[in-house]
Amino acid sequence: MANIKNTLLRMTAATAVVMPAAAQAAGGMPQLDPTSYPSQIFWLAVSFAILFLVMWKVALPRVGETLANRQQKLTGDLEKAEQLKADAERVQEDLDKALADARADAHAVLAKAADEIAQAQQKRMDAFEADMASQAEEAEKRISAAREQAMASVREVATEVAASVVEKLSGTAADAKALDKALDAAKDA
Amino acid sequence: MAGPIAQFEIKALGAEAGASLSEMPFHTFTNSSLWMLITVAAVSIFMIVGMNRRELVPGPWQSLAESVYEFISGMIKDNVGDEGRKFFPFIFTLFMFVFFGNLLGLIPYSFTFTSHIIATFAMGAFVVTGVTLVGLFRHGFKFFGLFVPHGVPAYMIPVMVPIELISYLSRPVSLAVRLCANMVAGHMLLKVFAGFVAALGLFGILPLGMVVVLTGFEVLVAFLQAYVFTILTCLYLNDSIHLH
Repeated sequence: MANIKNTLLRMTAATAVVMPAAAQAAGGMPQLDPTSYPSQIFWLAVSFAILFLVMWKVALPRVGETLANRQQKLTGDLEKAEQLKADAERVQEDLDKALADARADAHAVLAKAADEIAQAQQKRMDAFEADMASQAEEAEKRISAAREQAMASVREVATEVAASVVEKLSGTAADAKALDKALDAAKDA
Repeated sequence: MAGPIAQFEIKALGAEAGASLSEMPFHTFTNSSLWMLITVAAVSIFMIVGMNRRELVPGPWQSLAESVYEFISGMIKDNVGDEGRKFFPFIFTLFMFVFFGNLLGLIPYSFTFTSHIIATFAMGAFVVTGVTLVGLFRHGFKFFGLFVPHGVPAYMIPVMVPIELISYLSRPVSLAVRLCANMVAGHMLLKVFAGFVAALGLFGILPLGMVVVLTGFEVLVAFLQAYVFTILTCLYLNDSIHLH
């Protein structure tokens, strides 16, 4: 409590110190003293003119130039990026096309090779078959020749056997004509 | 202890104490003149050194300088249009001069030249005069159509024209008073609270906190008043160029 009271007292005292000064000065606000006006106006004009010239001729062109450069750089970079992107897309397209072409080529080569192989196979098969057929024919010919020969020798043998049988049985040489006749008959039978 | 008004006193630099300005020439160099020149130097350094390297990817300082440029350039584009572009250097200078003047005035023991009505009035009068000349130059006699609002019945014109005229003529006054009064009020408030800090001893921590808060607030006001001054200039310029 005492502290608060003390503070209040001090504040009042402070106000008493400050306020008269304010009251006294209110009559003589330095702002309302015209003796300073010429100097203020003169130096205001001088300073403002200097600042205006410095800003106009030196400072602002620099900022404007920097901003314009940046804008230009940004636009340029964006354009470049756009172009690079288009280039990349074109390269991708080329690549896709080349891949497709290569795939098609490979297919064609494979198909051709398969075709050739199949043709060669067929040719060899045909040749082999023909060879086999001719061999079989030849063999058949040989067989029939052998059979004919065998058949011929069978008759000879039969004649001989029959002659010797007739000779042994009858003790006389067989009549060759009769023998032939008999053999023919037997053969036909 | 100096009263809250003492901070606004204009003193000739280099003259003996108590010398009256009334006996000095118009170009007497005062604390006000000094802080005007310091403002010029600060703005120039801020804009030129910040842009020195002109980097494609700006550092913090360059970025700040660029954003002020774009802020004012956008303000003109939005409020005046493309015709306003040739006034860009002037409006930029106006904003930076007032803004840095307000801001540097917050430094203890500095001087706020924007707290003087004659300085703000000189700027306001220059702006309004310039804007009027732009309007007259562009539109000739038709410029005075600005004082006849659209859609007003004929019998109201004798009433409306004086009202419009007065409102037009009060533009420099309102520009001047708004800026000056804001600066004076803020600085006096700071000074009064600072006075409490000294008077209250240990309990001065309370007004000290208040001074800290107020200083932050005054930084905002410094920007805001510069912004208001500039955007009103843009709007007046727009009136002159486009006549409603």
